[in-house]
Amino acid sequence: MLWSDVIFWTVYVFLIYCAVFLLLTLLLEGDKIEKKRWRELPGVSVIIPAYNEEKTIAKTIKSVLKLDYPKDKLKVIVVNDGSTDRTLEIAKKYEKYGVLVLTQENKGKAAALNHGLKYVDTEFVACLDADSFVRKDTLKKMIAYFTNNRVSAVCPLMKVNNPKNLLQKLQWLEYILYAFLKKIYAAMDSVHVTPGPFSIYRTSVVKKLGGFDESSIVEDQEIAWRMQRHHYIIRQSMEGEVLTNAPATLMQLYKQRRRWYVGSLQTIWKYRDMIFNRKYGDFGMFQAPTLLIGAAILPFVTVSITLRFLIYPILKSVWRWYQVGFNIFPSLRSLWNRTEITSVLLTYDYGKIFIILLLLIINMYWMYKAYRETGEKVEIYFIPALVMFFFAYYILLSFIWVFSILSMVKRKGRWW
Amino acid sequence: MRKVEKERYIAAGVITVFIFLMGMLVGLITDIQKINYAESIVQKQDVEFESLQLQYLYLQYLPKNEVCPVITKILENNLKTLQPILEKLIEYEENNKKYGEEYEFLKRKYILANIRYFILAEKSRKECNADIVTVLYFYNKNCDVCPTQGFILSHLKSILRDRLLVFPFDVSYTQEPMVGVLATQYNVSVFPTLIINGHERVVGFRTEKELLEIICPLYRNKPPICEGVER
Repeated sequence: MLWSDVIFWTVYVFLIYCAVFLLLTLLLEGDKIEKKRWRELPGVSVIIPAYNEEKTIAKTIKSVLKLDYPKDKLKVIVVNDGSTDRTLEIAKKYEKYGVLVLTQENKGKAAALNHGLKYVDTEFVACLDADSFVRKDTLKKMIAYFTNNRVSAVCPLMKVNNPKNLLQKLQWLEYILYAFLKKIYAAMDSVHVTPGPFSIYRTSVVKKLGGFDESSIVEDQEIAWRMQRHHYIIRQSMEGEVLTNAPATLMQLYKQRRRWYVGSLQTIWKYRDMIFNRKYGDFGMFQAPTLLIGAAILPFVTVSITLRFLIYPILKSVWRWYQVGFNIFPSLRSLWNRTEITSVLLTYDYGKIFIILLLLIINMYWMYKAYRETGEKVEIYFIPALVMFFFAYYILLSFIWVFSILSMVKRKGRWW
Repeated sequence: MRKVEKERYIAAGVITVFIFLMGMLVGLITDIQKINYAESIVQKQDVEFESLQLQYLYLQYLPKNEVCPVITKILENNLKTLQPILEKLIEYEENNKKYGEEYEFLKRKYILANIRYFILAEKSRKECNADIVTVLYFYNKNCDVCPTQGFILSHLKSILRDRLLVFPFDVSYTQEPMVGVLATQYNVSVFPTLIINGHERVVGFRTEKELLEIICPLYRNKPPICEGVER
């Protein structure tokens, strides 16, 4: 057996196991999450940390002010994190609508959130990135989950705002799939990130935990892991939508993901003792190890398989065709004349094709469910989108993972 | 302290193993199919080789003036039977699979037939004035540029068809001594080495254009691709 076969089968077994496990969880526990109506809606503060967001901050604040929620129960706090553009000036215009505008020198998002947290006296607190917008009904839908008083945080259904180019559309799809995945994570009490755009927390819990970690570059992942560590329950809303701007260019995407991915590795490292720790239930036994493998091993495997079995053969055949001036017609003609179709069909490795097809089918089912659950229509371009996502986008993200990790290692100047 | 439902982990494991075995089974079944197919080729080709041998033997008994039409006929037949085997053999090799002893026999027979075919082609060129070019193509497994050289040769072959006869020999295949004999006779030590029309040695990689510059002057009646090619 070749080394590549061993890796291929190992990764295959791992992916199938994860998929089967998640599907089982979906079947067994998918709908057990309860939510009721509040007799009287509780108070909520929305903290909007902003660093150089002059283009979007007004829209963000307006979307919060337009929320369908009793005005006396809703408090808006904007924290200007030492912006060098007109962010502060724009935010101040909304003071007349009761928005509290704080300002500090540039200390980072976590510090800004903690600054805002000091002014929160409501039962719940929401954080909202200044490049994201809520819908009118988002808050009401999400706050319903807190009727269970063991629930300590609720994540929104994040969607990409107005996707225009292909890259943004792929991200749109990624967010939809991810939201559905997180629904299952929530069912097994294993949510590992409460994203910056409009996650809502029980104020007492955040304060008890000591607020956001200012040393982390991904405070929204760090706080979720910390909540898991203390056995707090996090839920995922499938109704409360928040729209967020997605990077439009590859370079912007790389910068965003580098922060996420390096941050997630740091977070996993910080809480490494939770990995395979039965004390933390499914989070310890399934989620944490899977996240580690997904972060530290899978991207490298994907990249090397891609290089070896996709990029290298393509380069090789391009080089060969270059040698004959890209004149393909004579070969096509002789191919047409000579071959019985069986001899061509028999040259493929059907064991691997079976696997790839199976993973595609699982993905297709996944995507179909995700569309349904997130309230999107299943369109006709569903299948090409899936194939594209499955092959191109996943590979792209793997490359970003690898580059991110390499850049982190390079910056630290050491392997660990 | 949270609970871990062991049953779910085990159930997922069992289902995974089941799916994995299904995948293995599919691979196994197609592998068996492939071996069967390779064997059926071996059987079919066996007859072809026998026929070829007889044709060759038959030539020895013919008077000199009757040889040429028969050679031409035999060459024509060989073009139909040998070329496809070559391509199939290469396909199987590229898949890195072993097809057992039968495959080895087939390969050796193929090599022998190929050499006989080459001798015939040379005879037809020299004694019967056939307007063809023969190329002995020596390569080995450790040579990086050889696949590209082979690709260029097949490309030229697909353009010039029966006017260019290419006989590839893998020198790293030592099971058939005749290959070694040929390589020694033509003093082949560098790969790729081409022997054009049985005597002109071309050592090292050649581009399509360079090959045409060597081959084209050898035709009396120039094929279309040779227009404007000068040495």
